Amino acid sequence: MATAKYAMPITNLFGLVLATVREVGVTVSGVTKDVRGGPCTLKRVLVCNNDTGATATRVSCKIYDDISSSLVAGTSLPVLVIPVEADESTIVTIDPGLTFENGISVLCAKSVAGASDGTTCTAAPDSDVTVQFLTT
Amino acid sequence: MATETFGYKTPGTDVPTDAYYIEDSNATAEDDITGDEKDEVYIVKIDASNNSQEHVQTRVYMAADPTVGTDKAALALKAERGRSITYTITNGEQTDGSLWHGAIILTAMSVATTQEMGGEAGATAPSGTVAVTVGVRDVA
Repeated sequence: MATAKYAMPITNLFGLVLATVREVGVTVSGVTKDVRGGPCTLKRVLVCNNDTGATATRVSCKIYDDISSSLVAGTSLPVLVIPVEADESTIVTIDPGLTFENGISVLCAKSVAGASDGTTCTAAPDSDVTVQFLTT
Repeated sequence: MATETFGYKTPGTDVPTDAYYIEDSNATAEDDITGDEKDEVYIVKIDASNNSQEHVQTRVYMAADPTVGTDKAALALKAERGRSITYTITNGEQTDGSLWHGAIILTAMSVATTQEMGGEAGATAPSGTVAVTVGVRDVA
């Protein structure tokens, strides 16, 4: 079940919103759509793979510039694909930022080890994956 | 393919990061660019300033000789048309501002750049030349 955990604006001394941090938790293979609420510029992504133990697996975080009903996991083109090892977190900082013309949708899938790094790559992770977006 | 050194290092050590420069106008993967068994990826710069027609996507594979559009990329990053973009990959920053080690470890790293079209199976070459610089550290 994907959940929007919080949205926190970052302001300057004059109260002008410089950026907004939003966090979603993704535990199933379904896509969480429009996590930002419309077009934006993505500056930073934090992906935390909470899967631990001997059988823990890497996950792939797929981020789409698509909030429409035609978005299909495993078929539609993700703008970004970020792998995260088990019990690790990865931060990707984007300079000067990446424009999302439609909005941000996200999917986290279990990534099976192998030469091709998985097949369809849409299987649900075993544990909650937390994804945090810093946008303007 | 030129090799240079980025300033990033592993905290507590002075390990330099090698950079591999790839300039391509086709969607065929540059195979096993480092020749190492395992590499940590720190930074990916995609310069699409000479490719003004369409957005592009650079894909990094955990495999030698991957089939672009068929094999799944471990890491995929977008560059907007006519622009340059830099992705820095870490799992933390030190108090002195230096970057922690790269969080993504890849084996037999191969790199390809395609147009942003055709879904995950898309494998169309960019219409212009796209320059990609990948900063890595050998951890094998």
